[in-house]
Amino acid sequence: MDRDTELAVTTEGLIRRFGSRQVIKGLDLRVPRGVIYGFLGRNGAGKTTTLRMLVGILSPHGGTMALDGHRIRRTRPRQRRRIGYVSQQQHFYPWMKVRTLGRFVGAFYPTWDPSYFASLLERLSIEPNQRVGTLSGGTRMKLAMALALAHRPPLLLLDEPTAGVDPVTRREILDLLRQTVDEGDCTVVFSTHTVSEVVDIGDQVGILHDGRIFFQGSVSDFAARVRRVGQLPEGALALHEDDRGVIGWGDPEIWRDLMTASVSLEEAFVAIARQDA
Amino acid sequence: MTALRVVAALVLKNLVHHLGMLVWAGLLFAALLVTAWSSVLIRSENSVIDAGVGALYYLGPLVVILINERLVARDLADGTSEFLAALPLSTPLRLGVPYLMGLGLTLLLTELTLMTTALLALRMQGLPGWWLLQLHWQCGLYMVAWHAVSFAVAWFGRWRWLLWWALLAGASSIGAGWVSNAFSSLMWHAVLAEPLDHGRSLPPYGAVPITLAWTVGALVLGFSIAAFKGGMFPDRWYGVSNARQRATVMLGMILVLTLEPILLAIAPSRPPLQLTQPVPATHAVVHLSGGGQLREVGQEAASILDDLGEVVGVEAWPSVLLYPSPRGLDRHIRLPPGGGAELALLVDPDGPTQSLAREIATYVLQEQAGSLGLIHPDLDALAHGAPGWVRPSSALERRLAWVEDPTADHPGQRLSAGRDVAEAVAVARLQSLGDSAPCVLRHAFSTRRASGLLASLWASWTLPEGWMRARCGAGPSQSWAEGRAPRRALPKVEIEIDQGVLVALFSHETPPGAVLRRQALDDLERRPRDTRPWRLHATEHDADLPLDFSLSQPLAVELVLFDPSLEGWHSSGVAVR
Repeated sequence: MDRDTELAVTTEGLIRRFGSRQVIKGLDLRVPRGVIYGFLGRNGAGKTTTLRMLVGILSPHGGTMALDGHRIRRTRPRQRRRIGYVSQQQHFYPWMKVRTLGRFVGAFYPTWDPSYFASLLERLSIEPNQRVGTLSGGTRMKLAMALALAHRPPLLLLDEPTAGVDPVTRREILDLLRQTVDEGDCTVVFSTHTVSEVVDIGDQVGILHDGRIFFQGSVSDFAARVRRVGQLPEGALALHEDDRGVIGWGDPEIWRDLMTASVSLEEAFVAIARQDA
Repeated sequence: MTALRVVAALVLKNLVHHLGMLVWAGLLFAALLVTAWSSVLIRSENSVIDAGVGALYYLGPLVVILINERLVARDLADGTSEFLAALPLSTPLRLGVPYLMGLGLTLLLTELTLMTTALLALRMQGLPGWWLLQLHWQCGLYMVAWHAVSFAVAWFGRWRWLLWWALLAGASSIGAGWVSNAFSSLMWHAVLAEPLDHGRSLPPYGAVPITLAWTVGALVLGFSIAAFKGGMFPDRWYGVSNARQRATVMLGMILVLTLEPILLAIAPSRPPLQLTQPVPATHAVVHLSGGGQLREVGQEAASILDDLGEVVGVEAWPSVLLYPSPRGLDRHIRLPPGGGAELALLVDPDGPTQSLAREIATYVLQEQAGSLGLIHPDLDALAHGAPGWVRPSSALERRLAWVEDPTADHPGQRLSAGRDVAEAVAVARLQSLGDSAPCVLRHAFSTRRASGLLASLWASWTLPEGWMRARCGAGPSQSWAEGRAPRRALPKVEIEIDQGVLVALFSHETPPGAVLRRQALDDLERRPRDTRPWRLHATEHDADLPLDFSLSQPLAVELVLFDPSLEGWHSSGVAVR
C-alpha cells in the first residue's frame, strides 16, 4: 500500500514514447480522493495518452503509477474494474441496442448495477431500445457516461467528455459529474482544453504542457499563484509577455507587497501554453 | 464465475456481430461444395470424397481467413478495440476468445464438410471407418494450421495482405525454382497437399512436423504481436494509413512478384530427363533416368511387381520412371515427353536402399489402384470401398508374405507389408477379377453379415448390394481365392462415332466367342443402367454397332469373353464415351 492513501491517483516520472517521439516526459500527477480534477492542456499536450496509460490501454515506457494507493507498473483488469472510462471518441458497436450494450458491458463488472444504469439512461434521456448507431454524438457521449458510472467506480477517467456536445448536454454531463462526486466516494479526472469547465466544476486542476505537469493544485491556489505584474519580482517566473504586461508565476508570498492584478485561469493557461510558441 | 460471464458475453457479442457475414460465407462454401459434388457425379472423373476434401483444401482457407478477419481484424479496424481494451478484460481472454471461437468455427466447417461428403460417398464408395478417421485428422490438422497462420497474419494491420501475398506468392516462387512443390514440402499445406489416393495408401506422416511447426510458430508469433506491450503493434499498424504507407504496401507486393524470376535464375540446374532402356522384367517396365545408379533397385522393383502381378492377376503395371533426386523417395509430377512412363518417382541413389524396391512397388500399386476408374468405371466405385469389404484370404496372405521377407516361410501369418500394401493389393485384385468382382464382393458381404449385427449393419450401409445382385444374378458365390483367375489378353476397345455410326475398334483380332457389351450409363453416377450384348464374329478388327442408345447419354462398350471354368465373364476393359 502506498503511503499516500489519500491520493486516488499518483504517477512518478511517467514516460511514454511513440516511435522516437517522447510524448509524456516524466509526468508527476497527484490526484486527491473525492475531487474533480480538471486536466488542462492544449491539443497534443499528452492528456489522452496519460488517461490511456492510467486506464491500461497503453503501457508506460518508464515511471510508476499508483491507483488507490496501490503502486503498479501497468493497470491490470483487476484495477480496471474500479475505473470508469470515457474515451474521446465513442466507438461502440452500432448494431447493438442501448440496453444490449449495457448488458454486454455489465458482464465485465461485478459491481454493475442494472437499475442504476436504467435510471441514468432515464435521467440523460436515452432511449434503451434505440440502436447505438442511430444515436447523435452528444447522446453517445451521455451513453458513455452512463456506462462508465453504472458500476459505481471509485475512479472516473474522462477524456474530453464535453468536446463537441451542445451546451445543454454539456451542462447535463457536468451536473452529473458534480452530483456523482458529491454523493459518493468517487474521484473524477477529466481532461479538457476548456478552462471555464475546470473553473465551473473542478476542485483541482493540473496543467499539462509538453508532456509535463506545469501546475497542479486547487483552483483557488492557482489564482493565488498567478498575477499580472508590471515588473517581475524576484523569485517569480515570467510566463508570457503581451501588450497587457507580464504574467508572473510564483509563490503567493511574492505578490503580498506588490500591487498586482489577478489573472483568470484561462489567461494563465494561454500564457503557459505559449511558453514554447 | 466472472470469467465465465465475460467469456459468454464476448462469445455472444462476436456471434451476433459476425453472424451475417459468417452465414453468407458458409452458404457460399456450401454452394461451391455442392457444385463440386455435382460436377464429380456428372463427369465421373473423380470421387465425391476427393471433391469434398478438395473444397476444404482450396475454399476452406478463404473461409478461415474471413473468420479471422472478422474476429480479430474487425475490432481493430473499426476502432472498437479501444472500447474493449478499456473494459476489465485480461489479455488471455482478449486473445483467447477470438482464437478459440475461430478454431471452433474452423473445425465445425471441417467436420460438416467431411461428414456430409462421407455420408454422400458412403453409399457409392463404401469408405472404411479407419480411413475416414485418418482423413479427419489430416483435414483437421490442415485447417487448424490455416487458422493459426491467418490468426497471426490478422494482427499485422495494413501489412496483412502484403504478408499473405509474400507467403503464398513467395512459396510459389520458391517452388518454381528450388523444390518441385513448395506447398507439399515447405508449407503448412504439406499434410494435405498429396493426392488423396496417395495419402490413402501412404498417410503423410512425414508432413505432420512441417504443418505442426507452422501451426505452433504462427500461434507464438500471433499471440506475441497481439500481447506485446498491450498490443502496441496492432494499435499502430491498424491506424488510418496515409498515401505513403499504402504506396509502401503496393511496392512490397511488386517486389514479391519480382522474386520468382530471380529465384528461377539462381536455382541450381537440373539434369535433363532422359530415358534409358527399361530394366529387364517379364511384364513390369521400370525406366531409369540420369544414369544407371538406380539399375539394381529398379530391377528389384520390377521383379517384385512381376511376382505380385502373378499373385493378384495383374499383367500390365503402369510403367515407372525412376529419377535420381536427393529428396528421397517421392512422387514426381513431371513425366518425360513421349509418354514413355506413366508414373515418375524421385529416388535418392545415395540413400538407404533397404526396402526401397518394395516402396517403389507400393507406389506402382497405388497408381494401379488410382487408374482403376479410367479402366472400369463400375469398379471405380467398388475400389474405394474394397479394403473395407474384402480381406485377402489367408492363402493369398501367405503368398504375399515374401513382400516383407522373400526368404522366410510364413504359413498362416497375416500380411505384414502393412495396410497400404494390403489395400492396394485388394484394389488391384478387384481389377483383376473383372466381372467376377461383384460376385466375390457379394460373397464377402454374405460372410460379413454372418459375423455379427454391427458388421452386418455397417456392410448393409456401405455395400450397394442391389447393384451387385443385378451384376451377379443368381450365380455361384465365390471366395476371394476362388475368384482369382489370370487375365486373358483380350484386345483393347476404343469407340468412335463416324458419320452417325457407332464404331468399335479393337487393338487386335477378337477371339472366338467374344461379346461386345454396350451399356447405357447413369448420367449422375455412371452406373450401368441398360446392358445390351452384341455377339461378334471371330477375328474382327472393328464393328459397326446399332444406334439403339441415345448418343447424348454416357455410353460404355466392353469386350467380354465368357470363361466356363469360372462361370464368369472376362473383360478387356471399358471404353467410355
